[in-house]
Amino acid sequence: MLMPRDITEETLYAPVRELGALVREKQVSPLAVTEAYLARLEKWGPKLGAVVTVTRDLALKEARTAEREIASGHYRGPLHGIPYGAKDLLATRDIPTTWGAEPYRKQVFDYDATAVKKLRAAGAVLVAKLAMVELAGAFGYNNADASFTGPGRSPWNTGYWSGGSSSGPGAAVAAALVPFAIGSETSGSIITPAAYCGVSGLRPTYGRVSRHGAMALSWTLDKLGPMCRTADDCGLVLAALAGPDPLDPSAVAEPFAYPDREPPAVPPAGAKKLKVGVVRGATDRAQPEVAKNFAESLKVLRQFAEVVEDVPLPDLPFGEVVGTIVKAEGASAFRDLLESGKAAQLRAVADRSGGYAAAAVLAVDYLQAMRIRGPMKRAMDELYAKYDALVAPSRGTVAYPIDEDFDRAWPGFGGGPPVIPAGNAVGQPALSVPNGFGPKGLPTGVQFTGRVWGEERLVQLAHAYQLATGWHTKRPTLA
Amino acid sequence: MNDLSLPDVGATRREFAQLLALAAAVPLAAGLGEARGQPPATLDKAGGIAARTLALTELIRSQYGRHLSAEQLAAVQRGIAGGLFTADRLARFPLTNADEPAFTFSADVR
Repeated sequence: MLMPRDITEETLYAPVRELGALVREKQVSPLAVTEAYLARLEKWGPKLGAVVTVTRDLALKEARTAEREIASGHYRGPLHGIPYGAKDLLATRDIPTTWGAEPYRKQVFDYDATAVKKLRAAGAVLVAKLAMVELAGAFGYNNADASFTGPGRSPWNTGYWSGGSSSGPGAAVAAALVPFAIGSETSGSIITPAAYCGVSGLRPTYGRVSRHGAMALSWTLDKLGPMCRTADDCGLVLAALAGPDPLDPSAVAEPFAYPDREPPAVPPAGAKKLKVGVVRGATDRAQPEVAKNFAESLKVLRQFAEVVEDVPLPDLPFGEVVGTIVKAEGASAFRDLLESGKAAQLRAVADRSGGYAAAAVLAVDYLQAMRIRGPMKRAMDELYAKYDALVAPSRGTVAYPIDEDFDRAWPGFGGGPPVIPAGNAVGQPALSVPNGFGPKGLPTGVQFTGRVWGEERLVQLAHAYQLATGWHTKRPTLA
Repeated sequence: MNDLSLPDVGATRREFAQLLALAAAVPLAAGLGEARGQPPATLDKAGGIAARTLALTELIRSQYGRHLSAEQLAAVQRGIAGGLFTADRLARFPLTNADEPAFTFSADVR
């Protein structure tokens, strides 16, 4: 007979798959583990600028329900009884949803986002609404202090940023305030905080996860995705989130299956090796530590994959297309804010006027950008059809200091090929996992990018990488 | 969901920075009368967008000026100049009449 375990730090840093198994086997009580995460959220959340609202009452109610169901033999699956946090742009009934911005601080919806409903159906327990860059960075913020909750801080070094715009999800997962979180990305907002916080973050294909109930910044670019301890966990959580939704016409019924059992470390004997391309110029402007860690990652990948060097991305204006679309759609999405003059209440100085410049994008220029996405999609798909994934450093530098403008933080470093805007412009998935540490004890990441609807392959590759390394098991020292 | 403001996103940051520096040298839209018909030579060299920058800044000033200080309006002008610079790059991308925008209208009523 199995005996209940004490909830230790080991338990709280366990991957969702492992924690789920403990809950299923009744070694860990959903109520006890929820209370433990709530205590950590209340203790560390404010220090890290990671939390907007701790949903204590709701969490305890959902945890009791999970406990009762599991005790009676009604087990819903690997997320049953597992706490999680949601970026504070997901609507939650009767709980504030602030979008990280002062003008919306008291905003309360009377419905739940589809992602929240799906996680509830899977038995997960919502413990917190997590901090984010105001309006998900709609108006051009240029430093970390861009949320009414203050700057998001990396648990690895609190003088440095946790990344954005999913700053709270990144920091909260890294510090074991939650075992997983839901973030969002328009262009870089999952991959960046995943890299800066040393966690695993999956940006799904556009249309994989319903956006209903999520704050709209850009209707044609916004994606919701999991941020977790491991790539394997990202697969588990995405399986619960994916699927069509009558409330979001962009969410489609493209199948995503993820095994209940942990996938194998390497392709089975006799199976063809996976083919991984290295983006040309991937480390040209990277910090030396980022370049070194990426080179070490390639060595690991060569153990189980065919690695092809020097693969050029199509020479297309990805950054310009994404920038134009975000400005035009963002200015429309927040037109009421601009009209009201309440943009003046935003935290970042650049955000107070950036929306007005965005409002001047001409319709023909927006449509030009939207038309270019067609040939872009074809060029990217033609390239990615030849590979199981392309890899590059997730970011060219480690996180920026809290008190420096981004463009002054790491002079001479950052940039390189536009991997993030390219993937976002065409709606492709990407998965960032930690691959070492750089200056100031800050983590670095490697991103696996893939063909549209190719998340399974990305998870498989990143999972194999994590089984061969231990970076995802490292823990920050909180002080 | 957007980190476009981070420095390593976008391929033309250096050109863009040069453009912004030039835009900063242009009189604010408040001086549109003086500038009309005589766009500043510096911005013309940067892509001939001075007049459009001034006109669009005036549009924003007339629509939203009550919410913006002179300093903020100057930032808006720099942002508009940058946006036009980007738009001009995109306008050079070869498209055919058959290249539709990446969205479809649906007649379904939900």
